[in-house]
Amino acid sequence: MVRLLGICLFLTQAVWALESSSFAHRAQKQMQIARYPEALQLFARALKASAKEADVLGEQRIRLDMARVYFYAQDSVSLAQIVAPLHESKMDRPTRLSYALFRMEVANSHGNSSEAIQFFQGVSKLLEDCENDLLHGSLLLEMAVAKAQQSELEAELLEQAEDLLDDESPGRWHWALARIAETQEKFGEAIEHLEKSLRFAQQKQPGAMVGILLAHQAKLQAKSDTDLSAATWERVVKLYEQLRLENPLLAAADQLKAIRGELPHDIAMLVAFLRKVEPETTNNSPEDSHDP
Amino acid sequence: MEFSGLLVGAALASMLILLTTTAFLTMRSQGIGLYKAEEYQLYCVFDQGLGLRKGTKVLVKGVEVGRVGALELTSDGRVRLAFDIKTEFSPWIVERSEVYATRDQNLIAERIINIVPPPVAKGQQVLPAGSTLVAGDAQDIETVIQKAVALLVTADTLAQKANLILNSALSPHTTLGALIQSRELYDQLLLQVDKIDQITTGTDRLVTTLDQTLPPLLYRTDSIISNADKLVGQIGVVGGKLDTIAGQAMGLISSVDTTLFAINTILGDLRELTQGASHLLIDGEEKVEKADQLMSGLGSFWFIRNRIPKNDTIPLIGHEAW
Repeated sequence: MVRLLGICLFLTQAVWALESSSFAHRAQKQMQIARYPEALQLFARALKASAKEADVLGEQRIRLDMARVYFYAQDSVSLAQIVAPLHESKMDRPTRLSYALFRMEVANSHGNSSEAIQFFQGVSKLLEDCENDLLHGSLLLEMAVAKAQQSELEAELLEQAEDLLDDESPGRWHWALARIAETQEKFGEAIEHLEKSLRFAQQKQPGAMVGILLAHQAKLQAKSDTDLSAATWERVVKLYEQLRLENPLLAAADQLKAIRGELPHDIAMLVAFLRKVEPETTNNSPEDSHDP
Repeated sequence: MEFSGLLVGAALASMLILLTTTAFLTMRSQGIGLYKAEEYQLYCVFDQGLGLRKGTKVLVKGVEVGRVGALELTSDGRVRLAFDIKTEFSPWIVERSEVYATRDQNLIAERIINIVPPPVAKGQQVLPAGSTLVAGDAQDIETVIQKAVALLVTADTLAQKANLILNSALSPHTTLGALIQSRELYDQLLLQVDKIDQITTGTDRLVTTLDQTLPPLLYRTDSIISNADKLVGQIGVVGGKLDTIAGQAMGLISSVDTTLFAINTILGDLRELTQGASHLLIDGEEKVEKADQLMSGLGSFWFIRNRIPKNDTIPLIGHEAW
């Protein structure tokens, strides 16, 4: 009899791991291996299932994950649409903190430091009881970047973040320092931190995060060495071609063309295909393009 | 006394002989009695017989050859004369002879009949007795006057017609007058004549040009035709090769057709397979749904619900360590 009840409980758990969570779980798996179009499809199915199940919290988390994918894909329109129904009143504490972190990252990437600070202040009270040091430290780092963008760098924030992170997330740490150094126009230092951050990202965050770091590096390199910057932009283009993220690919190709004047043959053909236009004739043969 | 009787007898005999001879000669000359001359009849029809009667002389070139024997009216109102012609003069009256009435010596002399043989009578056939001579116009003053009158009548008619035409020409209301008096028509006609002249001139030039250019063109046409003929021959060869290719293509198409049939069979089998899988999935879905309902029902029991740990169904991402 007890065994029977145990089986029923197990089945209950199995059955309660219903559609929305299974889809979301599978979607997150896809994200981890940088298969973003598949992840979006699974998140969409998870979203439908969560609506059917009336799982409000699940829906908020699914939307948050989808928003992250749209952020990687530089699809601001879809990002705004998916984020619009998000409401902090429907979220639990961890979800609110994660949501705030995401919005701060987005705001800092666009240079909108005021919005980032606003989000931080919205969850500052929740941070007092935050048990997740990684989440806490990440929020503090983003706040420090926002402050640095306003030329009001607070060293305390960095110290607190360093204590919380405790060298468990060096990639994120150097990424924040790189952005802070950039705001201080210490481009060489910023590039060094970016390179360190890139090494960790390539190991633990393969995919879009690497693309973001590379693009940032290319922008900083353009101030001193255009050839190196062009080579980095070319890496960015090929990375996003592998990730199948069209918008960042085209943005990187435009940057590359702005530096070199014309695109390599293979990239020009790819850009023409994505933009559905006639390819521009170039003097560069396929042999001229070089891999970094 | 006997001499005086002889003399009287001789005188009577002489007188008798003389008388007889005279009578004979007279009768012979006159053609009277036994000494009447041999004659034959010819006829002629005149329009009129004025001045002609029985006994009117009939002459041939001015020599009396006979007399008018009789006159009579025909049914059509003409006059038929019968001539008694001496036989000896018959050779001069041939089939083409012409007879006409005329006056003998002057304008008031009696009328005679004159027979005029043709200019060349030799070889002409002599008219036999009873033939009808061709009647010519009388050559006398009356005939001349008649013809002059007829001519004057005709001239008068012509004058009247000419007068009518002239009046028409002078009147602008008639077509002729308008044609004659209007210069525009004349100018138009002149213009058309000029155009015709130009056309004619242009046609002449065209013909000249064609004459000069056509021969070389025809010569080139010959060469073009010969080249086209060669081309047709080559196309024929290509056509033969195309036939071969078409045959091979048909073989290929039949092979493709066989392959497509096999693929179609495979697809049919696959369709049956997928239908079975679909049914299986549907049945499985129904079973899961029923299990879901069962578990929902079980889960609603309070003693089970309180023992089920509350775990987050969807984990948070985005703040992992890297």
